[in-house]
Amino acid sequence: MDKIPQMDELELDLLNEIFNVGVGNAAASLSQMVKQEIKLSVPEIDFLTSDQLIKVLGQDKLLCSVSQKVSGPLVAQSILLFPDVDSLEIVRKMLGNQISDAGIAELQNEAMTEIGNIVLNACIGSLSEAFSQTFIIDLPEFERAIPAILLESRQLSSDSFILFIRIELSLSESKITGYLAFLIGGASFSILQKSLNKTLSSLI
Amino acid sequence: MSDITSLFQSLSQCLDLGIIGVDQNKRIIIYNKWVAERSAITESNALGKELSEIFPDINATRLLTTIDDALKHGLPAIVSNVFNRTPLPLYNNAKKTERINQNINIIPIKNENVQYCIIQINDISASVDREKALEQQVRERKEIEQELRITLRKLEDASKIKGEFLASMSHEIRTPINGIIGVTRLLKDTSPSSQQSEFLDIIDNSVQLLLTVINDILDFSKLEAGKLSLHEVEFDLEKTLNDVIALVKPSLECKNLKISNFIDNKLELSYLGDDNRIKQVILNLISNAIKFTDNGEIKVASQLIKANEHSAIIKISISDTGIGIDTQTQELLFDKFTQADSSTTRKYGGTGLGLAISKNIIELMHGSIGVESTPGQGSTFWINVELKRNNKKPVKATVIKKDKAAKQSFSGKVLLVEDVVVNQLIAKSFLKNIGFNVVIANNGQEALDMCADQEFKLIFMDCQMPVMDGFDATRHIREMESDQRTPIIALTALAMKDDAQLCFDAGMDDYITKPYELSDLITCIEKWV
Repeated sequence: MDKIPQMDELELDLLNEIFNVGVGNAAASLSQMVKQEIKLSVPEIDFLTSDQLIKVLGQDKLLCSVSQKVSGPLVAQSILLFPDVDSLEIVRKMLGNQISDAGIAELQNEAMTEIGNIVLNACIGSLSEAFSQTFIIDLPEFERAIPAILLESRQLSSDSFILFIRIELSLSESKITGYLAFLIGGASFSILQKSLNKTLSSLI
Repeated sequence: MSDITSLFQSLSQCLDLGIIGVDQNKRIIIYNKWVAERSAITESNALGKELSEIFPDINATRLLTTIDDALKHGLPAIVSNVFNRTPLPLYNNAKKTERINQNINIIPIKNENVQYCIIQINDISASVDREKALEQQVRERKEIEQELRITLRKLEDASKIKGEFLASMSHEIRTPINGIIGVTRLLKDTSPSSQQSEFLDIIDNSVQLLLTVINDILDFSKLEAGKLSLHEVEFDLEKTLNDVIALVKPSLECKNLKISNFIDNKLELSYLGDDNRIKQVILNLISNAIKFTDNGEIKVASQLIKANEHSAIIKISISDTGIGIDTQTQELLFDKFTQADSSTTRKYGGTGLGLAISKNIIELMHGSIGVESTPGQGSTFWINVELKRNNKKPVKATVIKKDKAAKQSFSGKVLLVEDVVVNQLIAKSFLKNIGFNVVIANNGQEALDMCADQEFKLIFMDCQMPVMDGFDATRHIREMESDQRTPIIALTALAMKDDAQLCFDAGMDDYITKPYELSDLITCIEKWV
């Protein structure tokens, strides 16, 4: 994929807003679940190629990822990514300090899968609500690997690129940066764009 | 739909996990045996009821939210045990005492445009229990580690206190011993009767023995604290060995034992190393040999093992014809407070620290020490040490013989700064005997006052004194001095820490450790006059 399709300002604004709502809901669900205040913010949406994404994430950085495949009107692979070390920090903060390091590592998989599930569901739910469309969504999968390996197994088509969102998670005095990535093919991108415009026209 | 539902219902009965199916209004359409058994609600009682009607406590929980999301948006979810221990009131036993730990998957299913939701429940109680037990083990181990750390710290503190106690005790003990030795020597010079002479010799020997014991204990505590450091000076190996043999001569004569000293002619004699410590080890080994040998001979032999441009490995062995040591005891011999057996301690005396100290000193020099022995036939103790070769001019042995030393004569006025009257008496008579005119100051302040209006050839300075100590006095004297620097020699009973360095830092030029012999005093004075 050498050329990334463009979106105009209005389309981007709406998409940003949809993710803002989704991430806001996710923060509320997470806070309620662990009974402490968790904030999530979405600064900006970007479109990247796989190579660019690998560079942004750090070629050799060990990441933990939770992904859910979306199909239906459009096909996409939704992924939530955190640096592996930071994900342990999140789990520790959420579960409290009485668990040993070994215990935290043991729970990383399950805990991150559920956290990822909440964040991804909230974003997909927000998209589904905005477009008044229902998607078919798979159960979340957890994987720890370097970026290239994580992306390789989730590549959808040769022309797919990545809708990339940096998110910031704040909980009990820590600020942790994670990433939301939607791997999406050219055809699905057009559908996404059409859906955005449809929603926009109903708003105007 | 009802056909499919009943097919699914039948299928779900044989699964070893819980399955609950709900329709868009959260009414139960599938309720398998697994759930029925664990909830104590029969399938017929559950079917058709709303989920929160039979499980009222799921209201306002994450489980219910995920079911709503699944029905509304088709969103699947994982409700893991990590964050939600026991979402549904399911039990493993009839008594309903403890809820089972659950991992729940929420799976939305769409059929003919109608959204359904399957709730799949896994019982993970066994693995949760296992993890809890592991976590408990880790916690217990951490607690034990913490206790051990505290105990270790207490032990370190105790060891430090012991070291400080020994240091101060050593000072307190050395001071009166200094008095006894000095006064005994002075008495010997007053033409005593032969019987009195004999008594004085006994006092002298007993005090010397006491001093050895104290020095042993001190050395050992220094070694334990890692505070024993080695000095590097030029020395002559043959002279070192001869000095030791001269020291033990009286005890050899007493027991009528012979001694031989063989030095390999391949050995050169000048080296760099801590000759005092080597002397201490050899003296210990020879003294032991004498102690445990009633007749026969002690053989001292030195040979070259290996040499290169910079260093030489030398083996020095001390053989005796004494009682010998069995193999079992040989292994324990270099441990502290060990003698060949406890009864030997009574018979032969000694702290049992000598060999432990020797071993530590030799190891500090990166050498080795050992013993070969046959009970009844004698023992051979040996040391292997690597010494730096002295590539400079060999040292010329400066031997001061005591009788000659006594006649040595000096002149001029010296200041003796000392607060203990007995020590004043001893030092004064030593110094007077060799020709000095002695002025006494009782503390540092008095010394300062005297230095202000008198000139001295030498100053002998005690370190610990009331009013002003020797270190402060020295510092003030150095400040007062213009161009002429009076040599200041410390007379100190301090034997721990880096005492010598403290003296040099204060501005002193040399030091003598109490108790001292007249010859020590003369050797030192000759350097400065």
